[in-house]
Amino acid sequence: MMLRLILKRFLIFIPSAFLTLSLCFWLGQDALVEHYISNIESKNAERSNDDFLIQQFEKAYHLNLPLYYFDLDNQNYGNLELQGQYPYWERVIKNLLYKSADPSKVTEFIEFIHNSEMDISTKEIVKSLKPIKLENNSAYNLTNSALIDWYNTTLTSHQIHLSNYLFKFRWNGTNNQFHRWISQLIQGDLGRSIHSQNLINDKLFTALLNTLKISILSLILIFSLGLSLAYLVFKYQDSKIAMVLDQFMYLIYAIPNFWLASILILLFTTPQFLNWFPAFGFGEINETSLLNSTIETLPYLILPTICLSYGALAMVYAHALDAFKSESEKQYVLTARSKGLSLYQILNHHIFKNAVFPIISLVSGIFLFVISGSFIVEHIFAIPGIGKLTIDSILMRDYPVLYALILLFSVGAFSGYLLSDLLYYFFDPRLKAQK
Amino acid sequence: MKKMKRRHLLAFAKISLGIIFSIGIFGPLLLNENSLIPYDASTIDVRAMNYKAPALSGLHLLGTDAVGRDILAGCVYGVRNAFVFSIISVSFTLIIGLFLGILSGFYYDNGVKLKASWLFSFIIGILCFFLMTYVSLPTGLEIATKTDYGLSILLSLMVSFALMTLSYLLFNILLKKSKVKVNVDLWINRFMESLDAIPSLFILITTLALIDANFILTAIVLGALMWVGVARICRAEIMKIKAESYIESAEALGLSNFSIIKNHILPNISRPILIQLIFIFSNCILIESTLNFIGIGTSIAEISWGSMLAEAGQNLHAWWLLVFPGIFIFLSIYSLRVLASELDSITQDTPL
Repeated sequence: MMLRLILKRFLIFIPSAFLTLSLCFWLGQDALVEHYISNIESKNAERSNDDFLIQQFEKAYHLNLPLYYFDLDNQNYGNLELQGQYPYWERVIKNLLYKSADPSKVTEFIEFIHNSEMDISTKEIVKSLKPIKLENNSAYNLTNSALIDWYNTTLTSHQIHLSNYLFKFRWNGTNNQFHRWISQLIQGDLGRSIHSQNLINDKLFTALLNTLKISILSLILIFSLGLSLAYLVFKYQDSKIAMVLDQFMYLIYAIPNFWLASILILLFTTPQFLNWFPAFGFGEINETSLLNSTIETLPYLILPTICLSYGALAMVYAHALDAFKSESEKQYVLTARSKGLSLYQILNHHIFKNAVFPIISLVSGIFLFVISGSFIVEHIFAIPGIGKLTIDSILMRDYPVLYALILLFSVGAFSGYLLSDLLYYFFDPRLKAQK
Repeated sequence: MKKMKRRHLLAFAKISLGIIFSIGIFGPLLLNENSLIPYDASTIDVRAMNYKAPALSGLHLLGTDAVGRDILAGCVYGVRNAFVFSIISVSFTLIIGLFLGILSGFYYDNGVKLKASWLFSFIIGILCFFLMTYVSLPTGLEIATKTDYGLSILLSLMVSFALMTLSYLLFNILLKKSKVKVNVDLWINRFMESLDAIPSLFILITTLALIDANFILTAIVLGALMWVGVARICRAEIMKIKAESYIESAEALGLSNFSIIKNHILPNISRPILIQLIFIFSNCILIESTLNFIGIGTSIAEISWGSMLAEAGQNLHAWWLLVFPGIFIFLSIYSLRVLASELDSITQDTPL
């Protein structure tokens, strides 16, 4: 029964992961090529290194291959005259115009494009930049309206040929970037990042370890503290402390976590107020084993854990309290009460066991909460974990790392759902008896 | 000692929301170059650079930031930022979520009965339109902003419409008015589950990284991610309402499905959906501040609550950058949530 559950979840997971990965790959590789072109343009100093750089880049990322298994393109893709707009050339021409502020250079370049035999691949684009020297210190002449008018009138064609409205479907087979990337992925090789040429495997592994230290601590804190607080508040329902705690939990849920993080840093780490905890990062790690290094970095971990867990704590507390209250209104509690059991005994023996189900349905939600909270918390506290890796790779446009992270997050979400399914199976005897 | 009752909390929430709304609407009128406090959100006061502390004697009531921009003006103009963003997101959430929720809730037992020819021609028309505008004309994601682009969208619309009518006539002749049952409930459920699986903040950040988005596009993408809650509540409520006897009698009287939805179902689900929308509104304010904090978000004015908090994180001695925008964010989110929960408990207390 359990195996069937796991298999079913897995079978739904694989096509959806494939779809998301292909979508991200499509969007990301486009942006990667643009970014790459603009980077090569800006490095105008030594042209002798270019061939080697291009070869290395292309070997790693296979940019000369088509993108996906099939191609759905304009009929006149690659035919500049009929197409009437220059796909990558437009950026190159615009940059050339703004940097050199000289229309004659741009006309030279366009003649060069038209005269040579063109294949729209990055190798050709970059090679074509070679004979033209870009000036080092020319400013972006964006306010020169004459130049812009010239650009708009001469370079853009106002007639769109009717054959442009047709499209062409091309089947690429397995000789494409996506297939290569996926086959490398299945064998366990995630590639190299663009920013620093390190292996992504190592990067992800260390970042995941660092994030897990905080996430596991915060998960323990959330569930233990949330459930025990709900239990206590339910038991001493009519006292003042319970009402105050209730309102306090509700109030806490509304605080944005980056604000709380900054306030905690201000209060606890600067010498102005209190100086209890260190603020950023992990400090020096002298121990080698995992447990000892975690214990050594414990002062660094406390503040991020609080920031990660307070929101989910409020959620678990509210749901647990709601579950306890709705359970206590049912018939069997009345029966137990009339039999003579005290509230304490009923709580422990009956209500708690039945109230677990709404909380289990929260488990997957809390996984996601902790993952998405860790983006901001790790960014603020400068902890080298998964969240910081995501935000850094987004800000630096490091796409291979981003694909690996998307895969990691979908696997994480999937495992969260799987965990909640397994917990349901474990706690509910009715599911076990369904065999 | 006064005990804080629930209605006091509700009154506090309403008053603070009213204050924030009026600050958002009337604040920029008072904070011009001409009036009492002559600081805009982006005026740079050279005399007050480098983090002046708040001083009641001077004109910068809440202090300045590194460049010299006033914090009070930033907070006031930030209200506009957050609320316009959230209103756009919430309206898109409402449109998508209401439509899909009603579709899956109302037709959950049998599915929608459509004429087969209409369905196929509709699919062909939509495919044709998207292929023509997004595949044929532009290449890749660089959609050209040239003068002819509007004309080409119009042309592709006309061609797809013509193709749709032609194929409708053709399929009518071929299939002879046969009906088809589309089980929308199952597919919309699967779609909702798959959208729920990935954290929405992550999807939002990655789509903003991959597509260069402006303010309105970000709000639309956020609206396209948060509709799941609305659709779920819609579906659950409609399934409850459909079991009532007045719907059955309306069907027996011969009312069409559309008029049943319009006259009976929509008024009854409006209250739970409103509660959910207020909650989503507060979440949108939070996400907008988060995006501006990270540095990825875009804004109407240059300054926003989140960006002020980001600056405060670097320079912790300037506590006024941290406290005042944070109070605004916290007050708006908290009062919206209190409002939503009070409405929720009101609907639960009244017997049907």
